[in-house]
Amino acid sequence: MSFSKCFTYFVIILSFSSFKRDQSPKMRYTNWIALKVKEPSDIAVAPNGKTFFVVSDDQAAVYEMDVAGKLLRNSSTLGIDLEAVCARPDYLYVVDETPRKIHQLNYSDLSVVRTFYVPYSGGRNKGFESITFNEEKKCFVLITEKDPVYIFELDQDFKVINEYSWSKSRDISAATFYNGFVYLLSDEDMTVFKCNASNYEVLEKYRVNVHNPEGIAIYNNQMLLVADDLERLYFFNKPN
Amino acid sequence: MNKYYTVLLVSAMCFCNITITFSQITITNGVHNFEISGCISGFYNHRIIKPEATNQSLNNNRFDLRDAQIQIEGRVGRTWAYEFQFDLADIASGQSAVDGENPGLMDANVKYKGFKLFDIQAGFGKTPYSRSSLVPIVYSPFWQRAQIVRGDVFSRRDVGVTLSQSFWKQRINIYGGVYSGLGEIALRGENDGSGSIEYISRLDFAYPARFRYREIDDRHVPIPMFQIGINGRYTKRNLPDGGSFPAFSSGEFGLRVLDGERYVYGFDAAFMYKGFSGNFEIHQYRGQPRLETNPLLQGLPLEQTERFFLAGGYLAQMNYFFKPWKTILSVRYEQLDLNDLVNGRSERFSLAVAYQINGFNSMLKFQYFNIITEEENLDPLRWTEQFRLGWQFLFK
Repeated sequence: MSFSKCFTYFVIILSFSSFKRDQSPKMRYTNWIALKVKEPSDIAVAPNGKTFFVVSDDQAAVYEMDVAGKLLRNSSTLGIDLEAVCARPDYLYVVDETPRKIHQLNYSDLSVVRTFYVPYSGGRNKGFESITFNEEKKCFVLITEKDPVYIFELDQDFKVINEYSWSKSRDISAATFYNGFVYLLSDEDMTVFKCNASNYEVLEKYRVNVHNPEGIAIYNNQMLLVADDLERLYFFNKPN
Repeated sequence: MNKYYTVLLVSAMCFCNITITFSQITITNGVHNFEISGCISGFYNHRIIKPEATNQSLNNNRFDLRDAQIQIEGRVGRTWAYEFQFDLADIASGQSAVDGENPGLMDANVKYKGFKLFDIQAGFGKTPYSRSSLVPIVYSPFWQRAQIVRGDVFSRRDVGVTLSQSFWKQRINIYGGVYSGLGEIALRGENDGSGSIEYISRLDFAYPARFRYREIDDRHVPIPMFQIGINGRYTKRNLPDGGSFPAFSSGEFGLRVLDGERYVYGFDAAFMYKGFSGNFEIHQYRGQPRLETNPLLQGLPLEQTERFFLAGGYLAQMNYFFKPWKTILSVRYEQLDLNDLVNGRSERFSLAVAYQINGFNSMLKFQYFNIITEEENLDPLRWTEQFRLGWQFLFK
């Protein structure tokens, strides 16, 4: 077999590629602060609109902090592998990815009020990594990380009521609802997707120059991204 | 006829599973999480045999099933983890010798993470030596590792106990352990007459963030990342007179275990940035046989050998991930000297191209091998070039 024949096979292989280059706009962060939380994996704006809740994968706990990153309080160890957080007016919800559990916490002392079990047989570390509440459809949204990405809609008791499959990115690591839209964050593709809240169709997408982004929140016209490996909180101008 | 098989293989793989996603299966009771994953890979191999080689059909072209792996991983709470991985392709081959690069049993170990000072792992698995060895081959576009880290010079797996700890947001990792020193052969029974063990340690440092044991930047990281590491291993196995090592434990070149004292130490470096990545690794082996008559001293006088010999080499690899094309392009240069008392060393060049049908889970891999020079006295080869084309499928 000559080298030219091998090259021909290479061309055949490449011919199955899409050859599409990502032309979506690139956003640059305006500022970042170091977090005092080990392996932060998601962030949510507290109902008071002034503080944030950050979950730590390493400590399996949830931390409340101010916009400067000062820690105000934290929960006890809640589980095994905390990956997502959603702040509702009445309770805080935390996703424990490995055992497929959702912990409902009260705000007074961050103790567990109730735990929901949502079965999912996919990869141990490819389970639910995103949670948000879809105000348009009045349901919780849980999203599996990858292989495959599924968007599940759930009722107040975390019973699955609908599901969508997602193929716009290699993974989804966080989600948040803001102003009628669902924003999804892909860690591996370093991209934020602005989606229609009724069917999760992508309306806009933005590339972000952050390594290993794992959490997203929108606050005071700013988009906040939490980076796990670097343990940083990045500030962006909110996308249009 | 071979070329038709190859075209058929390529075509079949291109049309297979283009949009399907794969994942392992997990079962959980809320505390104990049990997952099953695996890998199947195979290739067609074409060799250019030297014209002067006798029996031109020997070691020639072939299809091969490289992997038929099952991996079972468990987590119990936050403190216990276990792993069991085996490769049916190697078990089915029925070979007496163990392929250090791809053994039948790959992992069988338990890890406890409940201590503050360190994690402890016991059982059989990869030893913490050589970054390149620690990168799973399924995350590489190559079908074969570089010669020096394939398990012929030093073992890649062993039975023993490993202590490990990470610092500074997992940028610094330290490993240390004691092992049988017999490598994969240790599973077959008793130790040799020396009753010795082997000590292995590794320290690596990454900046500005933790750097996983991967060689391809498939994310196009937006910040330059690098990692450097040092590792060493030591054993002294003085066999009693008339004693011998278990069959096949010495490996292809007689280096994996040595009747005497052996030091191996190495340095590695890796970087990633916007799709580019590279890794460099160098190893030095110093063997001090117990007896002057040890064949590794080549029958040379003591004044010349001072009763030791050196072996070693390095590899340098550069990679780029063409994200829109879902394609990895890699080149590798490697050098290996099996014994400094013998003239010559081997040099190889390899090119690899991998096309990701579905990430690493379904990937076509092509590797071209070129023997630039060979160490004719110690490792004579019948071929000069080799082409390997195949497909890997993971449910991981």
